[in-house]
Amino acid sequence: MGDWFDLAGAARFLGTPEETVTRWVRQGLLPCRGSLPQVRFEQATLERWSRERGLRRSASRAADPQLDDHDLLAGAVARGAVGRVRAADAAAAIEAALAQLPELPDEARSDLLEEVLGRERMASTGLGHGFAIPHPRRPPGRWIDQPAVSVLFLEEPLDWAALDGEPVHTVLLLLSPSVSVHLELLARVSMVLHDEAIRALLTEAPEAERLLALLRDMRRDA
Amino acid sequence: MAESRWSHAAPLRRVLELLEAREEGWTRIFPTAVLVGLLAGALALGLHAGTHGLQELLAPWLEGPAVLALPALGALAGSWVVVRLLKEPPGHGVPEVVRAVCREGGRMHPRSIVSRWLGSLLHVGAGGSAGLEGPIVHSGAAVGAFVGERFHLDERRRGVLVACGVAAGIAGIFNAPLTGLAFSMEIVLAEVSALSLAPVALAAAVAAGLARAAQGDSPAFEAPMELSLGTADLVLCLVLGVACGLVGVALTRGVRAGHTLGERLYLGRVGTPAVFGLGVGLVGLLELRALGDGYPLIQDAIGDGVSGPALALLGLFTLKLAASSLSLGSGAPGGVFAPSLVLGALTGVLFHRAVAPWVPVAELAPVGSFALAGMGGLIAATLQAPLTGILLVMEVTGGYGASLALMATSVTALLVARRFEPHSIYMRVLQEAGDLLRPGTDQRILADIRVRECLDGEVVPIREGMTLADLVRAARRTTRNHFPVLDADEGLVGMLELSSVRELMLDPELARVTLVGTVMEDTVAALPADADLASALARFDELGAWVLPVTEGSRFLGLVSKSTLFGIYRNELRMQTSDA
Repeated sequence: MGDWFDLAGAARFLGTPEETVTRWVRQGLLPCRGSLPQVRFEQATLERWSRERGLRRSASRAADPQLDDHDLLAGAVARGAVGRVRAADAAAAIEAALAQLPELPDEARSDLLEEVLGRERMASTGLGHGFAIPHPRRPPGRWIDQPAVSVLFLEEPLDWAALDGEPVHTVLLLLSPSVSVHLELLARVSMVLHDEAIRALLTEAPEAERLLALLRDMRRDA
Repeated sequence: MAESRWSHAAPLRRVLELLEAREEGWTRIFPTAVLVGLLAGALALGLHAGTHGLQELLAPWLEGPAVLALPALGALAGSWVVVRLLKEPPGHGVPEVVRAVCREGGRMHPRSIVSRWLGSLLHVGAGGSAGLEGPIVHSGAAVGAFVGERFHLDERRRGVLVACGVAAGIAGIFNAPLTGLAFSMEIVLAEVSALSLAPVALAAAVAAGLARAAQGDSPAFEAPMELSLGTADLVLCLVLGVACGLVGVALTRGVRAGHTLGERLYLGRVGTPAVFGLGVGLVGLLELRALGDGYPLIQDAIGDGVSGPALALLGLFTLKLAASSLSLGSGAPGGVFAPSLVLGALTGVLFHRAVAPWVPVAELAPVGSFALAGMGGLIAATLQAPLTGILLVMEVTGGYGASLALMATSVTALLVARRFEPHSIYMRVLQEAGDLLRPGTDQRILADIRVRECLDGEVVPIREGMTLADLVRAARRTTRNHFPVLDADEGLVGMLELSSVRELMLDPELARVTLVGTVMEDTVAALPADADLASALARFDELGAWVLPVTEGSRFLGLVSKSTLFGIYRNELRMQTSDA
């Protein structure tokens, strides 16, 4: 027989306020049964009515589920890698950061290397205070469907043409599937790097488990 | 002496000046309306005379076996003139008139004055089962457009002159000015206001006057008595109205079926009328009276009914329906008005036959009255122009005594027909093409406004290679939230919404290290500059966006925001619905 809505249900269905639906009923514009305020609407009729009039319920942008993740950064590091290396220069360091990522097909690796190096050539990703965040020029949705961070501690700090002129000792290679995830990841990275305690720990080049534990303890907007 | 004369002239001149200034061009419309009335009226008389002359000329052949081929030849010749010689689309022409007013500012090609005029003369004169009214409407409309162009009138007044031509054509053909006015109003005239009705009425009156001068006072059909449908017949008329409504739907669908069949057979725009004409010829073999515009048949029906057994009458009815569907569906030049009248008259006659055994003779109106009521009903049903139908019958019979019964039939027929066909046979074509746009309506306004008229002024473009820190500086120059990202050739490569990167911008180190190119939206749907507002709004809805970029080819032009659109729409609404 079909579903029936009451006033509130019809308003929700049509995506308009109850006051509007009430007015439409009073003006005879909306097919319904009964009289206000106990008026009832048949779902199939409402569907046809709104379709005939081309009424659009405003499209709601689906929220990216990945952004709600409290452990976004920790998860990204867990999916990525933590390691240390002695590299000759920035390019070699970037290559090493990519190399230590698990389960990355060769084609992806070479493509990503080109993208990240290309980005680095446009402008240095050396933030200052000894950190650098190399990343591809556009989020590589083609190769990546979940964010990954490759943490590389440099045994010898390297010149990275950083903003404050300081050599870089910690490299965080960021890989995100989309712009929105990349922005969120950057926000978490920003939090981490502004935290004195974490910054100090990072200079000690900790082991993966310790780093992950620290990141998980860190709460967003704490 | 001289002084006093001047002192009289001055206020008069002043009044004329005021009139001209206030009405801005309305005064030119009256003399041009008269001109259009004369020309269109003359065309109507000429077409009528020419077609019936040809019919008489061909009469001896039509009564023999040649009737099989004659309608086909007529349809072939008529379509050839319209489609190949004068290069116009096939059909009876009324939708084109409405489109000219709605969409093209009252512009029609001068060759339209002649195209369907000649085409229908050949087609209907040789036996095609169609009417001359549609083609005359088309001719008259083209005359109006031509005069409007010559006298440099603007689109709105040209539209009124087109309506004048339409009214004059109908008025001339039926010797019925009110009918012409009603038809023009109901079908063609985009706006109904005192200032637009007056010229149309004038043109109709002039054309009817011309017809009267040429043919004497007699109307198109001789009604032997005043229409004697009293209130007692009211119930019967309601039932007749239902029957008329159904017949109208049958005719509309029959024509549409003919049209669809024609398209499926791929015979071409001249081939289809020719082949369908053979079908018409076949009908002619069985029942000659089903051919042509059918005016003699109407005359019989109004007079003392159509003689013959009921079954034969039913056969005639069916054959006329079939022949009209073929003739009209094929796209040969000819209108649906006359076939509607014929079928309406036949419906009335059949109704009378059916009802007569059950109603006492003294109380039943004569068959001619029912034929007339049926005619009004069919016009209401097929053309969905009830006023035209009612007025035609009234003017033809020269009497208004049966107005209640006529209205009952017409309105019932209209309601029944609309249940099955929401648009008239004329309008459906336009509705489907999205061309039925009356001025001052929402659809029209949205179709009129182009996206390029709605561009937001201050737009600060940014480049992919800029950092977010640079963006912070750029953002200071504007209050806007959306930035287009352009490449070296000013082509659009992406959009950046400030709110999406707000947090990041507040971190100076990250801001200096993040490039616009990395965080911009690169799959951007751009609106073409020439798109109309209707399609632009559909886009906004689809994407759930509030701001969209506009491009011309690959070049970025500006941004359009949904919020400014409302102000622009409001302005346009005021412009299009003002009284002046």
